[in-house]
Order: sequence, then C-alpha cells, then structure tokens
Amino acid sequence: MNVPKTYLTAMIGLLAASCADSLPEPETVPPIVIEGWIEDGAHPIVMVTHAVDLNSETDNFDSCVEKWARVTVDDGERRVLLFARIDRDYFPPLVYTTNDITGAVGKTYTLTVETENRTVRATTSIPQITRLQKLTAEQILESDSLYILTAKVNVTAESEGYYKFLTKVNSDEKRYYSSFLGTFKSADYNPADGWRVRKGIHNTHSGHYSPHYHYGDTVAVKFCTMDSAAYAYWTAYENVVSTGSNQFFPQQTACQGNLSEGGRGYWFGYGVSFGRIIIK
Amino acid sequence: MTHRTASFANTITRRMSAAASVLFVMSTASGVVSPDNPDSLRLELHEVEVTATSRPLVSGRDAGARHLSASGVASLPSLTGTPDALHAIQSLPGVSSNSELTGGIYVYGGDNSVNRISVAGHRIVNPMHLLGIFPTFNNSYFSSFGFEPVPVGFDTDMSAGAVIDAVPHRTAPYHTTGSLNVGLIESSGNLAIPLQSDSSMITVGLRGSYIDLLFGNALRIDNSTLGYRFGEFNAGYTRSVGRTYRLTVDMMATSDRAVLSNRDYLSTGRLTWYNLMLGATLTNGKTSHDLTVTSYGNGFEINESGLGQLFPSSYLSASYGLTVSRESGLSGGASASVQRATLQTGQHTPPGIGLDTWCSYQFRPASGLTVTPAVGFCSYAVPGHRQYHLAPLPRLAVGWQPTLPLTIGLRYASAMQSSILVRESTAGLPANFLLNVCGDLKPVKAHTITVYATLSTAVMNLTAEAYYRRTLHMPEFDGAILNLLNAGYDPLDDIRDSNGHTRGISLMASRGMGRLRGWVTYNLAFSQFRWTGTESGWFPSSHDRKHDLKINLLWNAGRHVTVGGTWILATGYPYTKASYGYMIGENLICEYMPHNSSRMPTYARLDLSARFVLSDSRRVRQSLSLSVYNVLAHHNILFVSTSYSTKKGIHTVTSTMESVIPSLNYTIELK
Repeated sequence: MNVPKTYLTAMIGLLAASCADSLPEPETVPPIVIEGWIEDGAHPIVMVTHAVDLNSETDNFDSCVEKWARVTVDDGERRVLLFARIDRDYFPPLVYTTNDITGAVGKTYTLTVETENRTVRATTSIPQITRLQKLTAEQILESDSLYILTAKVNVTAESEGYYKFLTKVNSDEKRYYSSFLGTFKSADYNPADGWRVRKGIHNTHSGHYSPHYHYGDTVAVKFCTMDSAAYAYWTAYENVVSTGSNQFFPQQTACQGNLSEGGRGYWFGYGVSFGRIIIK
Repeated sequence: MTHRTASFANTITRRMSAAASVLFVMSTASGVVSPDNPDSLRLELHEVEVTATSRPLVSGRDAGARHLSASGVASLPSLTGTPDALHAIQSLPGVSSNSELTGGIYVYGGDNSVNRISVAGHRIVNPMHLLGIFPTFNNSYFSSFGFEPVPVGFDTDMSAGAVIDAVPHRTAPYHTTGSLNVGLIESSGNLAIPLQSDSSMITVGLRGSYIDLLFGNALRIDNSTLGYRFGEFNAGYTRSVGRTYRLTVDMMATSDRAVLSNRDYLSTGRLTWYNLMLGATLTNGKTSHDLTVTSYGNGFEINESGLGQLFPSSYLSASYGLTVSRESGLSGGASASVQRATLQTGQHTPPGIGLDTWCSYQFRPASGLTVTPAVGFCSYAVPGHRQYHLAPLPRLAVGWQPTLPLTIGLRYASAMQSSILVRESTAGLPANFLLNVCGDLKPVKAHTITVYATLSTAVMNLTAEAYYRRTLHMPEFDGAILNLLNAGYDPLDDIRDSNGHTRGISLMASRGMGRLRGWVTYNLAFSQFRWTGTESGWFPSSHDRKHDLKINLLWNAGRHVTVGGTWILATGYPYTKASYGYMIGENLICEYMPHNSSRMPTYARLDLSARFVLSDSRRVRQSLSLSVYNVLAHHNILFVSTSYSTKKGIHTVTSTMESVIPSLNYTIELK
C-alpha cells in the first residue's frame, strides 16, 4: 500500500468535504404575511404584507406592504371582495375590509388573498363567546405608580376552550395589542386567582416596554375565545416575541399559522367580550 | 568537587523553568595522594554526565491521556489574570477552541455536559463559572490537571466524554506554604499547612470575583447586561502512613450569582447556582475506596418590574467505588451510585441507581508493545419507572514504541452516562437543569476511537492523531423558557433526542525545553448530529469548528520575566440564521434556516501576558502578572440576531463583547 498517496487522498477528501458546506437558499419569492381576524358582530380586518429577505439588502418596510392584493372572504353563502383603506390605527396603515360581512358565532369564513406572485387561503370559525366578568387593578407592592390588572372570566377547567387577552391603553394606542403572556387554555385558568392581564407588547412602542399600568391609565381589554389552531399560534408568538431579541434565550421556533403554503401569519375568528377600567 | 557539582546543579536548577526537573547522573571522583607531597591531593575526575529532563507544559506521549502542571498553566495568558487550566486544555488536540461565551470543554465534537470533571477523582457536576471568562479551578490550589479524551479506565458516576481531573497538592510541606493572588477582577488565596508530622497536612483555597465593582459594564451585550459574582472554597486533608496507606478528604464548594437585565423590556433574570462536592479516598496498598457526595443546584428567577418567579432545580449524587490492582497488571473495581433530581417546575424525577463493575489487564506481548484491554458492565435502574439500562462497555489501549523516539498507539472507549444536562440558554448560562435518565429519556452513549503517533526528539514532540466519535441520545431542549410560567408545563416534553458523529485529525508540536516553550495545535474536524425520529438531515454540532489553529508560547525573557502568548484562529461556530422577518401585531417575527446551517465569521484572538518576579527569596516570592485579552481587538461576533426599529426597519444585528480586556494581578507566594 502506498501510504503517502492514501494519506494524501484522505486529506484531500476531508478538505473537499469541508468546502461542501453551503447554506440552504431561502425561497426566491418571499412569503405573503397575513394578519387577519373576524369577530362576532364586527367586520373582517386583513393586513397583507410580504416578508423581508434578511439575506439581501433590507428594503424599506413600506415596500413590503401589498397594496394591490385581491382579498376575498367567503362566509359559506357568498364571496365578498374586500376593499383597501388607509387606517392609521394599524401598522402598516393599510387594511382590507368590507361592510358586507359581519362575523357571527358558529359561522365559518374562508379568506383568499391573491398577490402578483402568490395565492394563499385560510379558514376559520367564530366560537361561542366567553364573558369577561370583572377587571380589578392592584398596586404593585414595590412601586408607588405601577399597577397590575386581574381579570375574572367565565372559564372552568371543564370548558375545554382557548382564550386570549388583548389590551389598548389610553388614547396612545389606537388598536388592541396582544397581552404579554395573555394566551391560555381552560386547564391553565384558576377561577379563584383569575388571569393577570399584562400590557400589550409591540416593537413599535416608544421607549421601554413595561407589562404594567400607571395610575390614571384607561385600559380597554378584549377577551377572545378562539380555536386550538389560534391557541397554538399565539402561544408560539408570545414565546418568540418575549425572548426573540434576547441573545441568551433566543426562541427560534416557527409561528405556524393556519394559512396555506406560501403564507405566514393568521386568519382567526374570535368570540369577543370587552372590558374597560380606569386605574385610580 | 561535590560542592562544585552541587553549585552547578543549583545554577542549572535556577536557570531551568519552574516546570523543569533536573536529573543528574554522575560517577564518583577518585582521589590519589602523592607520596612526595602529602599535602597535595590529585583528583582525577571521571566523566560526568548531566542529563536534563524537562517536564513540558503538556506532558504525555499518549494522545489519549495528557497532564498539565499547574505551574505551567500559571504561565499562560488568561482573561481575568487568574490561570485557567481549562483554557489550556481547550488548546489541546481534539478540543474545540473557546470563545467569550463558552467556557466548557468540547472534545471530539461532544458537549461539555458529557465530560467528567473531578477533583482528586471525585466528580463535580457542571462546575463552570460564567460564560468563558472565569477559570473553573483555583489554579494554585492544585498541582496538576489530567485530561483523558478517550478514557480507558473506569470511574464512578461515569460520563460519556472526556475525563478532566484536578489533582490537589498531596505532599506535605516542611512548613506552611501558600499564595495570595490579588487582581482587579478576582482574587484567590491558598494555604498548605503541615500537621504534627510530615505525613499529613491540610490545604485550604479561597477565590472570589467582583467584576461589577470596577467593570460594571464589562459584561454588556447590546440591550442585555450581566452582573456577576462568585465565591469558591476548596479544602483538603491528606494523611499518609508509610508508602502504602493514605487517606485523603477533599471538598469543593462554589456559589455563583448573575443578574441578566434587559433594557427594552425592563425585565431581569436572576441566576444563582452552587456546587458542593465532598469526597474521601482511602488507599491501602493496591486497594482503593472512594466515597463521593456531589450536589448541584440552581435557581432561575424571572423578574418583571418587581414581580418575580423563581424556578429552582437541584441534583444530588452519592457514590462508592472500590478499585483493586495487582502487580500482574490486572485491576478491577466496582461502584454503586444513586442520583436524584428536581426540575425547575418542582417535579422530582424518580431516583436512579447505578451499579458498575469493570476489569482491565495490562500486558506486554512484545518488546515496546503495551496492550490494555478493559471491559465494564454498566447498569442503571430507575425502580420508580421500572426502567433498566445495561451496557457492556469494552475499552482498549495499545501503545507501541518501535524505536525510542516514536510511539504509535490506539485508544477505544465506549461509555454510557445516566445524568443529563438540559440547556435552556445558548450561552451556557446555568439556567439549565440536570436530571437522571427517566421516562423517554435514554442514557447518552458514545464510542470513541483515536489512532495516534508521537515522535519525541530532543527539541520537540510531534503528535499526529485521527479520531472518530459516535454519540447516541444526546438531548437538546427545544422549548421556551417562558413556558415555565405555565403551571401544567412539563419541560421533559420539549427535550429532543439526537445522534451524531465526529471525525477529525489533529496535529501538535510541543517544546518543553529552552527559553521558548509551548505548543502548536491544528484540528480539522467534522461534527454532525441528526434528530432522531424525524426526517431531518444532518446539521453541524453547536461546537463544531472545522479548522482550529491554536498557538501557545512562553518566552523566558530574562531571569525574572516570562512573556506568554496565545493565538487562536478558528472557523466560526455554527448558528441558526434568520431567513425572513415580518411584522405581526407590530412585533417582529422571524423564520429561520435549518438548525445550525450558518456559520459565524472566523474567530481570531491574540492574548498576551507577562509575569515579572519582583522578589524571590528563599521563603517568599512576589510577582506581578499582566494579561491582555484580545490584544488585536478582533471583533469576534458572539450573536447574530434580527431586530426592528422604526428608523431601520427589519435588520440584522451582530453582537460583540468588549474588545480588549486587560487585567493586573499581584501574587505573593510563601515557599
């Protein structure tokens, strides 16, 4: 056996293998991102953007808004085309909606979004409403200005439902934001303790985020009953949002919504109950 | 003449480094008195042969077992100015270079948690301090450090990876000796006190860090700041009677506290962890009894604006081992151990019981050839779950020395480990929990083989090594730390099982003599894992460095000055890169490429140190050590993450730690 030759071949093989480590290419067409919901007694709201390819030069987020999408909602009886309107309560400030469809408990709604490159679909239903019974504010012991909110809801361990809180504080916030750690299922809820409703978390807030409220705040709370797909999505979402920017505990799981291939985000139906409290 | 020879010997001894020992082999002188002049004495010297044998910084011809002297380790640069044996081990063949984030020992692509780290053979569970910054051991408390990447012997509380053993001083001094090391970031002190006779002594070591005191922002990365302090205590008792009987008692206790603050979310995470090890060894001739109790615990507290929740976990192991060896080369042993773990959610895992037996036989079938086959039977039972694991574990060491300078060898070891460390943090922060095998968790198993050749010349040792390692049932946590806040959450549901293998070659050149000493190591390695039970493909292990070049050099610039340098050039670690980012609910959500499919940029770092001996008398030596970490201010990227801001939109962020970290230490030694 020619030992040097064998050794050389082995070395070249190893080095060649070391060069064969190439990155997987991302999808060439960025996925469509849908943020859409329909509540009982309200019209559908749909926002359509596309994802930013982080391996290329980052473009302005405004360019990610799909301004010319064809968005329709089918309630099982008719299919309605949604129109786009400027609404600065939302970000991006372009929403697709219609006055021709109003959400109703028990009905199923199918969303179809068509853009130049993709078409995605999703179906959801509006579950029975669970009532928000009571909101109480309590001062944090270590602070003279921070408060926590506790909600009592009509949920028992036997309810077998999935729930979510959203909040809107004062006039600063124009829309409801997902309450920090505000997603739970019946088994997680203890009627004696209630559920702590933390302030909604969002990257676009000004200054530092705190999950607590201040004296004088007016807090509007939306309590949603939803299906298991929505529960799975919002649980993953909260984990990603809470620790996604923390380098030491990064969360790299995907938020799997209910959209067809090529789509990210969600289209969910909510049975909603509202509450409001002025902290004083 | 005898006096001259002794004087010469003293001179040589002084001129040699502290790590060198000098052996003189000489003939006697014969004297003849002349009858003509009775006052004259004619001396005729026979030939005098002086042979100097160095003890290099790293010794051991066998690539599967090496030793580092504590004094050699003390000469090398370190980040905090305190010598770090594990940093030195990280620069050995087959071991991945560290970064500022990783303080562990990653051998042949294996995780740090599969190593068995011990003091005097008594296991310590996860004894690392924070990140890759602080040394694990109080260096001057110990005399040497053993490192076996492929252990052929068996230990109680077995691990599936390398064995790293810190050996305390065992020889009783004639009088009290010790040292005090005072630095800007941490300080340490040690004492060795002889008792009534020379045959017994007690040793005490103390160490503490106060980095926040002077460098409050040193551990700041982007929007996260780490506050940190720790204390460490070592104690030992040694009693020897004659040459055969020796009793040693050792203990090590550590306590660490870190506070992680996040500016954006006004949230903090408090991490506290401790280690406690108490061990005793009774050696009577060829028989040895070992008793060890080791405990590890941590508390992880998530705190938001004054509202906190604590998640404590703990692990306790007690073991007894008996080892008997015979002159014939036959040795054997048995051990029994019991483990118990409590998870962060308050769950107790059922206690597990380990029973191991082993035997080995060393023989020499031919000149220069040494063969040591060994076999162990490792069993682990969890009576509460009616679980039993039994594995025969064959091992083999073959060393052949065809000519004096050349050694060719092979080592093979199979191993099984019943304690599993589950990491919840990327940076190895001890927000982890340790548990023994139970439920769906299986013991970690590994098979490691290495083939090596060592050429020892008068000026240099050259070693070439090829290795392969197969790892089975390596666990990885796939859940979210915030899930711990949910009462019904079971973290065991989010542990994923993976199998993997590593192959590679290592080259090492070392020089232990002369004014310039040190070693150069190059690794070429491929380490891959794959999730079990899924269709997923192979992905690089988290500590895979394909190319890894490490140079450690020491130069005796003068009688009182030693200059050292460490240079590392290595392929960056794998990481999981975000491919897409988008906004939902005005929060940034990312999609990621396959696990560990991307690489950090090349890691490079030059550390320099200088040690000045201020005074050196018969009893007292004073010295000043200056270390500069990352002298060239190379911006090594620690994290790559994605962020959103209204100004920049969605963008990629890279994080580096403070570039250049100097440290100054004053040491006084009582000899």
